[in-house]
Amino acid sequence: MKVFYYCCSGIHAAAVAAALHLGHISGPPEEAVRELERFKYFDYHPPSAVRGTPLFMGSDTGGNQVYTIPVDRERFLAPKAIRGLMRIFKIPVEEILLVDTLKHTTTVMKLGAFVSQKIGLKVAGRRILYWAVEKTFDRYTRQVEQVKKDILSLETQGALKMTGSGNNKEV
Amino acid sequence: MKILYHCYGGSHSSVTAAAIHLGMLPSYRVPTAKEFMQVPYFDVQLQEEHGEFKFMGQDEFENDIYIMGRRNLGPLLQPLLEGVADILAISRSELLLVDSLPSVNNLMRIGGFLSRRMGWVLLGRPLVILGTQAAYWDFVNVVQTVKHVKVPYHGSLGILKGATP
Repeated sequence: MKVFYYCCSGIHAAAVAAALHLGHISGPPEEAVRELERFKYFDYHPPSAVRGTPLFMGSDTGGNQVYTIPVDRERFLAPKAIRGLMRIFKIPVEEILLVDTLKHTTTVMKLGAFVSQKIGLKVAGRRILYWAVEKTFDRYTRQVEQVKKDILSLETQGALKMTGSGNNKEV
Repeated sequence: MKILYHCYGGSHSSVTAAAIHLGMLPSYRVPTAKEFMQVPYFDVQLQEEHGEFKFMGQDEFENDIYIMGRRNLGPLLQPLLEGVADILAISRSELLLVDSLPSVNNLMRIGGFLSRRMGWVLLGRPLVILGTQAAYWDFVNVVQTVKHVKVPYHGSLGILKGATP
């Protein structure tokens, strides 16, 4: 399965969730933020040639590929477009999981992203970003735990379908 | 192959380009207002439908033609969908994304805003039709480039970005 975490830029809230999912960060918020400082995709500035494309973050222990994608302010439109693409190519929508991390984006986080990415003051911007992540870290933890449960549930349903005993409910 | 014409609202420029592509609108003269209104989805798409692939028809080479309103996703749509397509092992030669927004003029913008956003159809629709008629040859040019240049060589040439007459 492919898991896509999305936020405005794909490099802040989505990167935190992806890092948490992949085990690059863990533990209490203060410790997680220290680990986040070493995670290269957080507040990463992608080359213009690849801007907008999904960023591959890694594979989790279950072999699921984890990506982040930027959706600007279109948190509903972008997933709809991706699912539409899958439908016209007849790819089952259960093959991917789209996870909205935009809801964790606070005003302070937006400020940090602006200072770091738009003004170019990396050090100051990242200090603000780390502080914002620390304050909302519990939300990320809960969401990623739920995502992992959803993956397990989808895999179980898939296995049941393979054996012919599962229901055909679309997730 | 699937060809997607996309613009801000999926109501005017992408619909016009797709209709020219499918022969619903002529490519040798500027259509009348009545002809525009006979095109499916012209000046009717609602905000909640944005992001959906709307099937317009199949061209003479059996390519499926779609339109989409992609709102503020703008320049992110192409890299996003191409990137996801790559991840899902969809061949690049099976998908062509065409941005029809660069051909849009101010009359179309104002008319489109009044008709679609404000709901003032009586005022906005005549303006958007006038604007579309004024920019019509740009749309024809986009479609001709897609049909005669991009589609045959799509695999090696990449993605068309707007009208460059």
